[in-house]
Amino acid sequence: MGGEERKEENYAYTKKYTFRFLRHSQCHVDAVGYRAIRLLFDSVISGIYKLSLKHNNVPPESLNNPFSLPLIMTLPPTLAAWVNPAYLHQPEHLCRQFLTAKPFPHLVLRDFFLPQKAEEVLRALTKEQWTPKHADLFSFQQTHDLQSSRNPIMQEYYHFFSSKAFRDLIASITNTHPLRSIDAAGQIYSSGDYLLPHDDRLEGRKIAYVLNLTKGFAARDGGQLDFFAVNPKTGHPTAIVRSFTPRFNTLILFKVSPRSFHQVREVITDKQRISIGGWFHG
Amino acid sequence: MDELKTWINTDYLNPALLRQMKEAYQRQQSVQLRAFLTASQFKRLQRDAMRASRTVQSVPDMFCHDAIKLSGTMLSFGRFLRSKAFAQLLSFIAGRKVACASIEWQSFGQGQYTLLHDTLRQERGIYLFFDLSARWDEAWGGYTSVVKDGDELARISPRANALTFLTLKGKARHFTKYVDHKAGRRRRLVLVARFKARFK
Repeated sequence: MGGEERKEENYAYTKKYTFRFLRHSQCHVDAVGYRAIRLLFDSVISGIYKLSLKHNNVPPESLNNPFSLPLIMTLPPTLAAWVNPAYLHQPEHLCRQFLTAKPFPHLVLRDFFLPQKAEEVLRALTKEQWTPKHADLFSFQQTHDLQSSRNPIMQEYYHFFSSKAFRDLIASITNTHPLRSIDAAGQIYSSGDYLLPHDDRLEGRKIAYVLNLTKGFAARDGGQLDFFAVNPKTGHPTAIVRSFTPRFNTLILFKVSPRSFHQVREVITDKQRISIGGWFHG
Repeated sequence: MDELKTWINTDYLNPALLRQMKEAYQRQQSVQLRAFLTASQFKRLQRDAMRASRTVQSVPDMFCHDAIKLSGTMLSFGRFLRSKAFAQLLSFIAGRKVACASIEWQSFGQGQYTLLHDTLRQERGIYLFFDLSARWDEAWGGYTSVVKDGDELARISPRANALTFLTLKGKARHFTKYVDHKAGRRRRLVLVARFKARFK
């Protein structure tokens, strides 16, 4: 028995590994050589991997944690794979609309994503974990930042929405350069939920957005995104001057400023208002 | 004492109970006294408050509620709260000298609220909340929440003829939760008074 073990050890120590490369070339190495080559190979692959992720705006902290790396290498997202082509060719026109909108710069982009993408994102979003949030200002359910989602569709969405290509598109439309990063979280407003008037100002927030994924809402159901006029003397909001009933696959962008007072009106139906919201940071 | 007996449920004027209230207040910095007014005074007060005319007061990023035009029993109840007799009673329970600084009647219906505005600092003092609202469900909102650094320290659910007083100092602030559509046409009617007191 002991002799057999020693034989195994000797075999393991002297075992030769064969690497084949190009078409007809090959070399034979022992276990030490094999480990050295594997190490070199893994380093090169890992380097390419990290470069790819950096290119796709995966945050640096997640690069240090191998367990947070996506399992599949992805190519840089393209705008055409996601966005309605109607919005890709007229950034100047959209920018004029954005800058001249009242009561503060904003833009409503209907049917913003390709229909299949919007449906996929909605399906994935509903599967996220939702937490009730209550404060003086709001009552709704929210997801964690979608950056931490484990759902591949949600990861793909976040990957695209935070990509440089997309941030540059939004920067062009809003004439706000540069937009360096994003926040993104899902919100569900059920019957009795609301978000009261506030201006969204917080350091770094430049452009606020809401991607509405709600289906089947009418004005009588509540849940409108309302914009307020502001009293120039007091700086406080006065009356609602624009209202947007939730509509599937509509992206609303607005500039965060001392005038950007808005609210989500109370939902008064048993249907749910579902959206992804957040900010582009400068 | 006669003035106190005119308004307050005499059970609360029992010296032994007053001492218990004092101990409870000094331990928790808040006390709620249910069935606080005599039944007859409360009925009169509730009747007059229901009949009183209201006007909406709104700065949307700070508050939205109705102010009530005072009349009849509401005016005399306000005078009672400002009286020397009531200040002495409250001073005994709080263990420090207090003086009435402000009294405001507020009415909250569907879609109304107050917010913790960033630029507003809550004035420190002993706050008194007296409710007239009968059969209120906390699930509709409309309750008073006392918070500090994001944590809720206390919640005052609307309850008819209940007097709650509590100390607010440091970063503690209060707000009235938004009243949602499930409240229907019901309203929370509440008197909010602030008493100045000297704190360490």
